[in-house]
Amino acid sequence: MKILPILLKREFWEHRKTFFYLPLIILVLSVIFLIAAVFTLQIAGEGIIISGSIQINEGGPEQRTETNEYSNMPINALFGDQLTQFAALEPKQREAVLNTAYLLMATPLVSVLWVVVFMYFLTCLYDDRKDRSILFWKSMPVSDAMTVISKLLTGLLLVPGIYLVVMMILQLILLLTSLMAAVGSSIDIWATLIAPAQIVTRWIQMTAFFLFVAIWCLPIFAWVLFISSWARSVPLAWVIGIPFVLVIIEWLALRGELLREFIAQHAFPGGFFSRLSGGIGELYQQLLSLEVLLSLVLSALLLYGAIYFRGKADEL
Amino acid sequence: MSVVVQAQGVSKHYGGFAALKDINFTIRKGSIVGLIGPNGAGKTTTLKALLGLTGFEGQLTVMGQDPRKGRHHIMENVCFVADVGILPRWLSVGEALDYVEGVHQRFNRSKAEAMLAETQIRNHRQKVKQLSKGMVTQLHLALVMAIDVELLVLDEPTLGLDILYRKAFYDRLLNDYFDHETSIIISTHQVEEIESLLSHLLFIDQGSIVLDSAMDELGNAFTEVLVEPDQVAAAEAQQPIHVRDLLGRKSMIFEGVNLASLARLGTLKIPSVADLFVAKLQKKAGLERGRS
Repeated sequence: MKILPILLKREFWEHRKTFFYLPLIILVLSVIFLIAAVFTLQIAGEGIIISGSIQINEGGPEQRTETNEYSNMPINALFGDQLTQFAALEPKQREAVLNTAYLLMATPLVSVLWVVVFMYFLTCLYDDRKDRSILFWKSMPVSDAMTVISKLLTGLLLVPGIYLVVMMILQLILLLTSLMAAVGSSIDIWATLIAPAQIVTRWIQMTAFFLFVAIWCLPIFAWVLFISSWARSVPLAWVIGIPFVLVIIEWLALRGELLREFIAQHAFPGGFFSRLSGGIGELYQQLLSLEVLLSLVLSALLLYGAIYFRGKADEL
Repeated sequence: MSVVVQAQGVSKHYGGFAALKDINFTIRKGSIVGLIGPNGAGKTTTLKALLGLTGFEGQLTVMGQDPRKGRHHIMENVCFVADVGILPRWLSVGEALDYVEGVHQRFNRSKAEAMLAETQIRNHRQKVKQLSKGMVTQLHLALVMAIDVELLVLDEPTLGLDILYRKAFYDRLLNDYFDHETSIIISTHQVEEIESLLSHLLFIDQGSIVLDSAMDELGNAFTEVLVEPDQVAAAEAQQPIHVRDLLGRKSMIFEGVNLASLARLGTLKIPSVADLFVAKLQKKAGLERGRS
């Protein structure tokens, strides 16, 4: 266990582009988007570019719809003349608008994170066999179990952790931007923008959500790791192909859809954003369900298989 | 001298193909063993078996341990350098140092850095993919030579390098690394370059060991005779294992023939490893032709 930190560092070095620079680029793009929103709306609110916006509308109906959709974005409610309307909303409505706005800032990162983690698990025990560097890694006194565990923890905790921190920074930037934009207006900043944003609660919930998803998606990720360790070619085809055939067999032979439903449920974390509204307590109940316990047993078997084939693994 | 590696009846099959056929050998502490054979003879398979990188049948112990159980324990006392291609291309020089320092207790970082300072590698931020083949080998060797282990395994370590690098590689190995406490096993098919280095020879061909001898015992078993023209018939009667034409005369290699009886035939010398290699392999090929 003493060598775990250096093994995690090694994974980070290899995947710096997708683990670090990619979320950083998304962060920068989001901030640019945010600043663009502030400027257009702030200036429009002062009535300076109103003539300009008429010109844009003259450009054609398509552009008009675009402008309309744009001004319906929840983030826009926080800036310019829409802010006074926003401040006049019921507290519950304000919370709802803010919730959508803050989730919106996190959405691109969450979507990219899933792809990054999936691709990482798919290649992490395969690529080094293909480029022969497995001979170097295996010439070091690191056990196969430790290798697989370090890769599992990288995809399950390290990468989501990095993305989580970037999300927090982004939400903090949104909060600060909305505060700066409100300077000089007559609204109560604390009651309108800070308190209903519930930023600390939000972060605790996000962290809990990420940990829950790590357990919830574990059987799928363990499956991908197993294939990455076992496959001698085209791991992606095996990862998708084997379950696909099994689902068809289950349907033809038993008219069953258990496997298909299990995969649909556990492959993506997306559906669990909605469950968050029921409070964190509900999630803990989910964790103790028989379904999750059984999927943990399945995950353990798949990980054991990944370690076993890593032990046998040679250059391809 | 204590035994570092002991192989007894080791075989390895890939499907129906026998890569190793019941081989036996012993490597003693402080020896430098040359594992020499043509391409596809089973050199890499032998080395991989003793490193725990591949399965096999038979008995093989490395410092008393079975490499099939716990490769990572064996790697605490064994270092491995294969031909130039095995350092990951994305790794930087500094990261390589950090990594080995992090996972290997016997790694001496300042020693590795001192050795790197003598190479053309200047920038620790450089990645392996930016280095030339020769520099990658220098990096790998600097990492490995800074680890204090009992056995160093080199599998065709200079393959694809030019002569200057090859020479520097072996000079460095002998002068800076070898201290008679360590054992080294080198596989290669370029015999001439390592001949002067070795204390023990293992010839391998088609999965079998065809020669297993200490270097200083070669002279007892093998003699090369530059035969006088009038003695050719008499020499051939002694059944040389190898005959070649040399500047209009015949040079013959004899195995296990009394020196006194050979002295009458011409000038005697100990055959070079390269000539011996050719002799042993041709003899084997000849025997097989005879059988079939």
